[in-house]
Amino acid sequence: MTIWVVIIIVFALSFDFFNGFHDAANSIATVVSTRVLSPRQAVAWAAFFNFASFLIFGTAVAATIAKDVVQPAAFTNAVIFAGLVGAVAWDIITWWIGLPTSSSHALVGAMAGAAVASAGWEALIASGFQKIAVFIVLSPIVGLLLGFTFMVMIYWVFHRHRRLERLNRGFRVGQLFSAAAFSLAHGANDAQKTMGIILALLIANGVLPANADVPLWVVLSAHTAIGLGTLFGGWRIVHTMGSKITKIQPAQGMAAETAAAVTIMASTFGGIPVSTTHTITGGIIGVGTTQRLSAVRWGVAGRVVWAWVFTIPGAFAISYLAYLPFKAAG
Amino acid sequence: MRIGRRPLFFTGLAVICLLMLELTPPEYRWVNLFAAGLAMFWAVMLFVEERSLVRWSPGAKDVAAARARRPSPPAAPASTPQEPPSEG
Repeated sequence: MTIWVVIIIVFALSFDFFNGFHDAANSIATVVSTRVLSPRQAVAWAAFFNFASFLIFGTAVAATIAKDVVQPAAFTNAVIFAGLVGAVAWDIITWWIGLPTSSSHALVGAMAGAAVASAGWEALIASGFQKIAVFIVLSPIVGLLLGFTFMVMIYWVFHRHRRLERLNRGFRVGQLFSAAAFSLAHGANDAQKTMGIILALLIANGVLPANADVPLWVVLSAHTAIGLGTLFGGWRIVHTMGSKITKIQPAQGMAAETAAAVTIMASTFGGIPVSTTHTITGGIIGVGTTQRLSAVRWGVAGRVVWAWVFTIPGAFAISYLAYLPFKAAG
Repeated sequence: MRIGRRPLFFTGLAVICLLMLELTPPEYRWVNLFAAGLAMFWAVMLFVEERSLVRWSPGAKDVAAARARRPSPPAAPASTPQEPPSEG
């Protein structure tokens, strides 16, 4: 393994760290906004489950990122490095603005941009892109529908309950479990994207054979990086996710997180890299819709949608530009 | 018959899921069908709920009872004394 490979692995793990940092808000926004946990307790809780997810989930998403988006032959050290530059830059820009965009789609868009700059449009695998593009739209819709369904189920089961204080306490405890489930799902799906990049790098450099699985040290280091990133979480986005889209009570937070966790876990088992940000946003809108459509602040939700639309082209453009110096240097 | 916004919203979601069926890889099409089915289920349930609320809400009952109590207005006579005599 050359020093260049080691540097790129460290950079990939930094992206994973930023991913946790950027998406920490998704895991803990509802728990913090309903005051179930203090911000400090919430990030520790989420970081632990981000890390622990490696015990449960496989590496199907990592394989999709490594083999189904860009032709493996187009992956070179420079392409992977420029791709990571694009993804990290996009994450930092949107974190600074306070927009809950998807780190996952930033990574996919950035890898595609660098690969196109290096080897032209033939470097992309259309079917892999199609799968990811379809689930950009489907994952928030499924999250929304499940969020709505879980919330209605809660209403059905508890609508005769008169001890509201006790009931609310129960939901607050329930939200601890739903936040843990969401953090597990987040850790599993997002850490695997970095694993996929490291796997592609190791294969491109001949460290591993083309059909290799993800080594355990890669799995552990990716989960550690995302867990640490979550621990240092991004507070700007907590506010947008937790209170600006719709006002949330403990029962609603529980329903939204459970809906998002189920959607992401199912996607992870299916090897589909989905956005945890998109999915929890869908879940929050779903529980807001049980009140009435006007309970959802559609202006904020619309801003989030625009951020989603621009993520892949934005990260694509940055990494394309980041690759040009390597191209000029030959 | 007026259809509320929420049933229309869920119907819209179902339509989006079905429109994306062709684009979705065959092994994942069940996700589109599941989501479209769930969205249509909620669209129908919300429509039924809204219809039943309109029909059975206390406000609607009061209005109906008040209408029943009120004597029907007498048929207007062909001409009244206040009317100015027709000219010509």
